[in-house]
Amino acid sequence: MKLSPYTVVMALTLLAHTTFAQIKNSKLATVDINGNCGMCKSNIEKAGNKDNEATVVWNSKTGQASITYDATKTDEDAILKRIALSGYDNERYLAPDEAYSALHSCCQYERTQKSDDTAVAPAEHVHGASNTAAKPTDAEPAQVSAATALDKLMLPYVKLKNALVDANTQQAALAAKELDDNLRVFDSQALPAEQLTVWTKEGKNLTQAVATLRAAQSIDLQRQQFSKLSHVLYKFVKAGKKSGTIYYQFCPMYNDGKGAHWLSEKSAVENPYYGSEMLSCGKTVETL
Amino acid sequence: MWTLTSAAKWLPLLFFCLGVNAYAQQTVRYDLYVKDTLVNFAGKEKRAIAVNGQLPMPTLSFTEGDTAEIIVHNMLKEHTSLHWHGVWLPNKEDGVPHLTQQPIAPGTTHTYRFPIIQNGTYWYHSHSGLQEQIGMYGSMLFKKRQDDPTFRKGIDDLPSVSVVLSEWTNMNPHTVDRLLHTGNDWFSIKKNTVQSYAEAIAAKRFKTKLTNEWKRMEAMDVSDVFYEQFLINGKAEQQLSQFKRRDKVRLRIANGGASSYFWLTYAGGKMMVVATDGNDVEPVEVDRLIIGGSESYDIVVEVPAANTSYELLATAEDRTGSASLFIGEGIKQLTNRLHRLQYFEGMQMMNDMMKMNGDMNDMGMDMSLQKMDMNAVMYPERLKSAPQPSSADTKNTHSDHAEADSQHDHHQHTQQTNSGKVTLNYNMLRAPQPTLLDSLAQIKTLRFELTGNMNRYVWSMDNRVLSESDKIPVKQGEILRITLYNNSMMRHPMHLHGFDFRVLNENGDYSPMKNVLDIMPMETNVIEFAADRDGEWFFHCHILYHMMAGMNRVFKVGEYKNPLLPNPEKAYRALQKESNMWHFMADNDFATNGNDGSAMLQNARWSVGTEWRLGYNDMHGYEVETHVGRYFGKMQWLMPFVGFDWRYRRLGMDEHETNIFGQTNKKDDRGAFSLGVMYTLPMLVNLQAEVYHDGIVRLALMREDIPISRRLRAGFMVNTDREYMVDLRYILHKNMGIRSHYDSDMGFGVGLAINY
Repeated sequence: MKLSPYTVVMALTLLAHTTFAQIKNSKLATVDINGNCGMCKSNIEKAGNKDNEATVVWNSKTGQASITYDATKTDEDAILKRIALSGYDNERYLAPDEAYSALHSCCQYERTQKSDDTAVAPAEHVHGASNTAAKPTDAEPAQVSAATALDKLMLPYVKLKNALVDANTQQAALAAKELDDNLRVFDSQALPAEQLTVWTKEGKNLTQAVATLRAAQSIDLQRQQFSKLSHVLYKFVKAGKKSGTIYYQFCPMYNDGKGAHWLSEKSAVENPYYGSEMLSCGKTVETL
Repeated sequence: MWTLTSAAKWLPLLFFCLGVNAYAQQTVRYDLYVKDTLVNFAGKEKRAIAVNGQLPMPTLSFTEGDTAEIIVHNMLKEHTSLHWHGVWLPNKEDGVPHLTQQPIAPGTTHTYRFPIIQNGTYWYHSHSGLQEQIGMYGSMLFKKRQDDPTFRKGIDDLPSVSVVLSEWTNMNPHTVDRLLHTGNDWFSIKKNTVQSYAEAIAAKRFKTKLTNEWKRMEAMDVSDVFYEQFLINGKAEQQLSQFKRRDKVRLRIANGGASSYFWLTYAGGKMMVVATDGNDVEPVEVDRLIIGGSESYDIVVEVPAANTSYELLATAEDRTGSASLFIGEGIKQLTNRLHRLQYFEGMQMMNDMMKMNGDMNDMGMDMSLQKMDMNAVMYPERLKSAPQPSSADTKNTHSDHAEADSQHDHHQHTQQTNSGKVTLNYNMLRAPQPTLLDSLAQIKTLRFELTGNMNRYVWSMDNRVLSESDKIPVKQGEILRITLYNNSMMRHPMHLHGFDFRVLNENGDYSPMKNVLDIMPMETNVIEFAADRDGEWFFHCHILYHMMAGMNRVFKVGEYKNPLLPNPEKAYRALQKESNMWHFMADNDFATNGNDGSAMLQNARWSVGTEWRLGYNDMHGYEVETHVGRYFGKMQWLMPFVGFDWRYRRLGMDEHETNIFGQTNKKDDRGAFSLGVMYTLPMLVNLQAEVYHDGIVRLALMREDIPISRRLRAGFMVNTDREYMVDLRYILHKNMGIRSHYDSDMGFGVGLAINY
């Protein structure tokens, strides 16, 4: 039998019809659901979907889901309850703590919906939102110079990180070069005592990691070195005075599930190890 | 709370009641209008009973020292009554039709009047027929007076909320009752708990299933009825948003479910149990507790954080559903769901605990006071694989032999074996004051064995239903010490009217007071109370369908002349009759080769049944067998009967004029009387042996309803007349199935099997 274009169009139309006409009396709603990554997406949608009753499409970037449901059979409450029971906080329901802890560590998003006094946070985990302590206005000169010294490292580091988030090898290489150059002229004497101790111990590792990173040709190699660099830089930053503006974040999936950290200037997770593949995988483990 | 729009009508009345309430130590009057209504709890409009336009019935509150005056206006087309559960009152106010009063006839009013001499959480419900199932339950609160010496600061002054748990089925409760008695397994299909052979094989539990049937047990379950919806104060979900961060709330929870137990869990931390069945107990913190049928527990919970409401989850014990109460304002913090029971684990456990004769074998574990929840083997959330015998048994006053039995002296409390969480049991309840009874009073000891079987749904005490039991005479002032042993496969919430009893536990002098005792299979518990109020007091299982099946007794304390019952003997016979009703069932297969069917009328002991096989022509023949029999034994495996058979057939297919004993058995036009016996063999196969008046002997083996898969049933029959039959039935509906069979007389047939 020869297929005429007409038949094909008909068949496709029919197919489309059966695909989209499943939910009757459909009502549409947009709701906030917390989550991180691609795995979260499938968990949330699986929990929310029900044949001929509800379809959930969750967007990991916005943290919003559009819900289509048959208003004669169910309501938003029922769908959001199911999603919360599978571990995901949303605008109406908070997940049981057991369900949240049972999620893959990659999916353990920051529970911003939970009220502060009960959030089950690891000891070092501080909420970005709730920790906006003002910087001291009467900063001492030593701190100023230390801050500038730190900026010399942090600014190119952040550039590097963002380049890796975008999976832009060229930009990453440029940022690595800048970081390397800054390191060469780094005035360690301006550092306060605590940081200086770390610097004497770890400074070499830092320079080495940056040098290797600068030479790296592929995004994969860059990311590998970036994880080493981040590890050392974290120790260094941590030794300084905490200002609450640097977030230490963690992706548990990188490096075959061994996980890797990075420093970020913002609390929202943007994963430099996977980029768009798994942009929001990870969580803030500490605020510096 | 579910309210009719016409409720506005009752508002003036409500104000009236409130007005009266304001004066302490006065007569507090409630008018209750009992009326038919329609509700939609689970997708269909169904009949229910509303009182003052609402379901559950309104919460009645009094202060200790008040006099209650409750006027019941029966606007139904049937009799009714109200029982004040756990309340100490004159016998004639107790609300048990035919025992303490005449039923309240349609269109009449009845006034209950009694002084309130207790404080605490109580509830009330209809004691007539199955009305409790369709809405006639409500909370009752007796407030403690501020100057009461037992007033507990920080507990008794907390804001409190009355909560009544219940369940809803779209099925008429009389149909529920009948299906239970007729062995219809529709509820198992709905609950997905059939535990068929196919499912057993898939779960690698074929041997377990085989052993189970060998021991003549049907599918294992923790509840009998399938409910579409579970309710808290008449709703599946509701919120108490008046409570804020750090608020403590006392929830006065009564289980008004007709046959459900509920697990209670809370999303906001521990629950503090402060009272049970209206009696204070020393506060005890738990992670979960089970509230048995008709029990009440007062728990204090806290709202831990701002802008959040915390879920109190009431999950039916069979975990087919739950209801939620959110405490606090704002976003709803859920608590973990209890997952489906692992039935084959339970089946394995039952196999181990069941002797071949149907008795339970506790393997020397001296179980009591809910300390060892054998059902825990079915909980998916458990960390340990099986409950451990508890050391606590050894100290129980009643288990004298336990001291010697050191082999079970494991120092491990089962309440903590489930994921390290604390589960309440009766041994953790301690009265704040000593509850010792008068040591000089005379003691009467009684022992009851709780008995029953699932196969015919007969529930009894000492294998006697109420209609086989006289009232138990008790002298006024005597102490009644009752040992209860549960030798059945289900747990039973045993409720005593008119008194609180001590539940003897490790706390000795401080043993807690209750009026409902949940007793699990194989447990032995001892309760005692001073019978100091004259009258006829009901003592029964509070699972409505068990009560209606006869699991009741009456204590006749002193010589009480009830002015409401001029002829107590006649009334008692009516009561006995009500708990041993006849159940009718019938089925017919409209098949291509004829009609196969039966009709039966049965009560707890007797069975009148007739079976027919009617062909469409003379060659296939017509055959009717009628049996009148009586069941014997606790398990009711034995039924001697007398019978009459009639058959007509012109020699057709598969003719055998002689049976395997060589006797000539004329099939053409034969009428015969017989004496016989039916006995249930292992594997639930029925052996039927009959001798006819002309000396002809017939033996038959048969089995119906072999569960092949969730909805597929097989059956067979073979007899010494060289007749046989095999069939397969696919269940479509509680009253319908598709059946195909092969019959040696009538050949192959396919048909529609209808059953009632």
